[in-house]
Amino acid sequence: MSKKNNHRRDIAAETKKPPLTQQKVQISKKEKKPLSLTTGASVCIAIIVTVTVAVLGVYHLIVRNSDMLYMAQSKDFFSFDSTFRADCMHTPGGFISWVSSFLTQFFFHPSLGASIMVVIWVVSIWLSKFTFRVKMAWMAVLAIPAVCLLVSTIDTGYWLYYCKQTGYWFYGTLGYLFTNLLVLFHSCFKKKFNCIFVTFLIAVTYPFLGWYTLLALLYVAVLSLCHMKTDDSLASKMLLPLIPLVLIGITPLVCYQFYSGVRFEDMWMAGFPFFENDNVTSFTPSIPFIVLAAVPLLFPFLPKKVENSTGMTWGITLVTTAVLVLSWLWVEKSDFQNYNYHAEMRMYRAAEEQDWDKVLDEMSNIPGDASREMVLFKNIALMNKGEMGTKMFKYNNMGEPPTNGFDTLRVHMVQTAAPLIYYYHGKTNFALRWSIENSVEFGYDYDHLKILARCALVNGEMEMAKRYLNILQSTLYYRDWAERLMPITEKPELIKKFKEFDSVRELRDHMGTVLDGDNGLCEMYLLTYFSQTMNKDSKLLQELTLNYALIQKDIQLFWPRFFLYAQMHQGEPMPIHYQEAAILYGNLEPESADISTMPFQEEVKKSYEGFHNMTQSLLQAGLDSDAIGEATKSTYGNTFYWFYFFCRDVHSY
Amino acid sequence: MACGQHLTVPSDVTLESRLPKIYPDYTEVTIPVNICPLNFAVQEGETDAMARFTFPGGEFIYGDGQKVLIDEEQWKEMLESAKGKEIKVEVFAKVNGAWKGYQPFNIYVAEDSIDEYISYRAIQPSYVAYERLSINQRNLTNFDEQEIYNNMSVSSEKVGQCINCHSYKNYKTDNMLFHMRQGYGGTMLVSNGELKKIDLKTDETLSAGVYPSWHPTHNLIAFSTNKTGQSFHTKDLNKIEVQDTESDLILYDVDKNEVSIISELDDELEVFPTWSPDGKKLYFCSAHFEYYNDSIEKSAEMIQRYKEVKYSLYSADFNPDTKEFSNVEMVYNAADSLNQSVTLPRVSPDGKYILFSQAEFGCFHVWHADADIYMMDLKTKEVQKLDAVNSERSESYPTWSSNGRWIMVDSRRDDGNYTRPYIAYFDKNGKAHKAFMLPQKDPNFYTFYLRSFNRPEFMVEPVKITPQEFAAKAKEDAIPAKYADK
Repeated sequence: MSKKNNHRRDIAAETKKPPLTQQKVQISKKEKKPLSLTTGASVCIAIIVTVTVAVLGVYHLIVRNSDMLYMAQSKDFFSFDSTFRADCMHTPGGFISWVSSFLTQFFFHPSLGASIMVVIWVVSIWLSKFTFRVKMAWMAVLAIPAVCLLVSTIDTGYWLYYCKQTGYWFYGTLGYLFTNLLVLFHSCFKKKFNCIFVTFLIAVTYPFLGWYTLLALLYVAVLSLCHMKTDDSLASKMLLPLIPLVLIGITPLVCYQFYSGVRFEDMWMAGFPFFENDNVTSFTPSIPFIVLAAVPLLFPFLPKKVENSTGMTWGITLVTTAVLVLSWLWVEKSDFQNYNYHAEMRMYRAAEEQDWDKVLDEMSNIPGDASREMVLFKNIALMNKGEMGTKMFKYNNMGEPPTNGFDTLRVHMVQTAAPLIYYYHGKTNFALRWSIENSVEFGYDYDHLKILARCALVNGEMEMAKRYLNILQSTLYYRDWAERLMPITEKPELIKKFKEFDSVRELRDHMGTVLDGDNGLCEMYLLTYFSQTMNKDSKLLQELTLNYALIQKDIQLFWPRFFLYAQMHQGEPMPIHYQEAAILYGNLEPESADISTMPFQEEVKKSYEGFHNMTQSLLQAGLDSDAIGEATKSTYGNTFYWFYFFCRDVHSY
Repeated sequence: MACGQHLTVPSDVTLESRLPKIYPDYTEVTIPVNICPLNFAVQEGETDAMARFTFPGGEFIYGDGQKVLIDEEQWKEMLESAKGKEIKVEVFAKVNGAWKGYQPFNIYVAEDSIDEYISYRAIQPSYVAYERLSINQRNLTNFDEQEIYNNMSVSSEKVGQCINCHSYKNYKTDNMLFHMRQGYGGTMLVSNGELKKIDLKTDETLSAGVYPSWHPTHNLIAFSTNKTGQSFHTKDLNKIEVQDTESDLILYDVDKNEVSIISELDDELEVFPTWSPDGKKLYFCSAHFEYYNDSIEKSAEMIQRYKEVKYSLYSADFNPDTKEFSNVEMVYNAADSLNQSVTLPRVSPDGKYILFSQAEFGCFHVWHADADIYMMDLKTKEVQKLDAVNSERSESYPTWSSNGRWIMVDSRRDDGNYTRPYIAYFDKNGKAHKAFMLPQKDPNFYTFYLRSFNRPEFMVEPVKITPQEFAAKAKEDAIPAKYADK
């Protein structure tokens, strides 16, 4: 067809006049028809929003929270085994848990896991555009749920250790994706009967998607209301929004008969994350999920036609800018950037990998006081490097209990790091105990399974080790770790070839056994146990007992362990902290031991005298204890005597 | 590879003169004629394995990777055909690319059937913490399993609940019970099909009822009452000691909702009551233990002297009509004569034998690796260790099937940590045969299942009350039991 012909036909069409009444209607339409915002501008907005969300995600997840993401995956578990799948499906929404746990394992490489997450967010944003038939110009509003998901990933703080939702980290992301897919699927059907049928189909997904199915039904109801036409029959006007609403009420009710392990009242919120334990309920981390659910309810009401008017352009620009700026502010505010929180995770990983230098580097870099967990890991690192006696007090030994700030969650070391801490102290039974206690409460995870396997190997419980290693062998990222150790279960003597077990085995093998209990306080237990233990068969254990006696600041416990150390290390130089303690205690309680003949290093003697003189003069100047501690810290903060006098009010937890 | 007749045994096979390594170990075991298929995994080679089952009516070959998964219908056919005889099993595995054959073994099919159901508490081998616990029922003739009750149906973060000690009257479920502790605590009691929630703690008794035993003919239940503590070994592989600092025995009259004391002797720790099948004797365990250190709490002294606690087996005559106990006598003096401790006695349905768990000390033998199952002939008082049932690790909680032909025990032989039910044939001559692990559809099930099968009990029928009905009742207030002075 030539252009000429086309033109002629257009002219013919223009010259053919419609009847008068129709003419009026057409004129009126022409006058009212708005000019849409240019497609280019809309695309620009959409791209800017998408890129902004992606950049925000990448920055906050990969740049600022890699350590957290790694820890998150280590506190999760996935296996293709049917037992795990059945466990997931034990509650409504179990399918999301299962897929989510599958994806969470990719946080082993935080960049990979984060990238997958961001891609799903971007897909969800664009899906919601089609699901809710929203113009690209409103992309910023469509991006709010993705921002909520980002916030929900980085705002948990110490709830990371207390989260009981299997696959929490991807749960909301996948839930929102599936919700969009369900609603989009529904919107593909135009005939009333089909719509109703599909609505029922959506309800059937409840066992798999839990609360997100109900959310999808809610969106379907709202969309049905919005898409209602004036010439629709009253029945369809009523039924289309009413059926999904009724299904929201009755689906969990009907399904309750199939779930023996869910409270009746929880059926409507199955899969919605609540952050609570026996002493605190925290609302803050749930906020993103509430916003996530609520915001899409507005999508159908966003203007379907975007005029190319100055007002509209400004409006959209303003909304887009406001959403992006507020999102950025919210994400910034929610990102839990407590230094110790992240440093603990890095230290934990380094300790778990026995990278002792990295543990000590982390400890050196702490800007304020460490947490007790970090102090313990620092001591473990020094013990393994044989440097406790020379460096233990050169680090900041003050320790504060971790807090979320936004709530009153009480963090207990037994639930964060005690299993690994006990393990490195040779207390494999206690490490096993707390690994199991935590697994009972929060579910088995890679981290605890590794500790359980290690403890079983050190204990010589090879069948048990094999079970845990078998489970880890079925995972994606811990298979190699498990395969490396598996031969020990067949030939127990092989354990001697694995240096990583040496210190743990030595400590464990030389300990006695008693009936005991830690009352949930790991550090206090270790302090009491080791400071009161005497051992002359293992240099490692003996030195540990001496060091714990130092930390206890107990003169009576110190001397026998000090003399035993000297006896077991004849011909070797006496580490500086032990000299410092001996000089201090010898001066404080001369009757406890005669130090006059002890060959102290000159610099130690001078240092002590300097410290003594300085504190005395500051005391005479009227300074109180805290002020003296501060004044002497820069010069003597790395000595035992400074620790003895000024490292106080340490709260173990 | 899948199941059945399509497979053929490889022609080029190198024969090994030893039994194959299979899991679970079903070699030379005797099984009930109505048991579900004994699926197993071949732990030889890396890839493929198969097994040929030869029985009087023919043969079947199965193989699915390294698993041998038996068709349920064909299995029934095999059992019916081999009733009173044996099924010969030949295992073949591909090792380094070449097929190997192993020494065949037999599975003996007893003519006796087994009770259709068992129930157990699914629990992690926990120490103090608890979260999801359930009492499950499993159909032994197939792989069907349901929850009877799950504590998460009422538990919340603020109000947690622990459940324990399910028990049935005469293997039937119209009269049954289990306990709930902490949140919504009480005893869930089904009496003649009616569900009630009872608070068995009275001011005059030590605690609510703990270890129960239903009287076989009357609506009575004997319980122990216990003050229980737990402490942890720093190195010993037994890991945990669970001790009673005090314990007594009580009798609960279900119809009258009344609790009375059976025994509350000072310096005696009475526990684990169990009735004889005629209901005229109550067997129980008791340890003589005198506290002599007033300066510390009883629990602290118990921790110091935990190895001194040794239980012997006693019996008391009982008149069900008057509810009077008399003539308490020692049945088995394990504590003084043998320096041992017996727990968890169970009398056979014919009243001829009594099973119990025996170890060096203590009452909680599930954590004692040396615990083994022993049996006393109640007529001759002769005691024998049931070697066919025992292992190097803990065996505890023995129980009889309703026909007395099957023994089930809780064993930690697999890895020392997770208890699994093992079933053994007990023939008419009083001989126990090699025990086999409760079969599962997927033979690798036990590897990934990180819960224990606690307190397995036989039942001849399933529990009919739904978990949701139990949950609804659990939320109600418990009816307080009355105390009846003797």
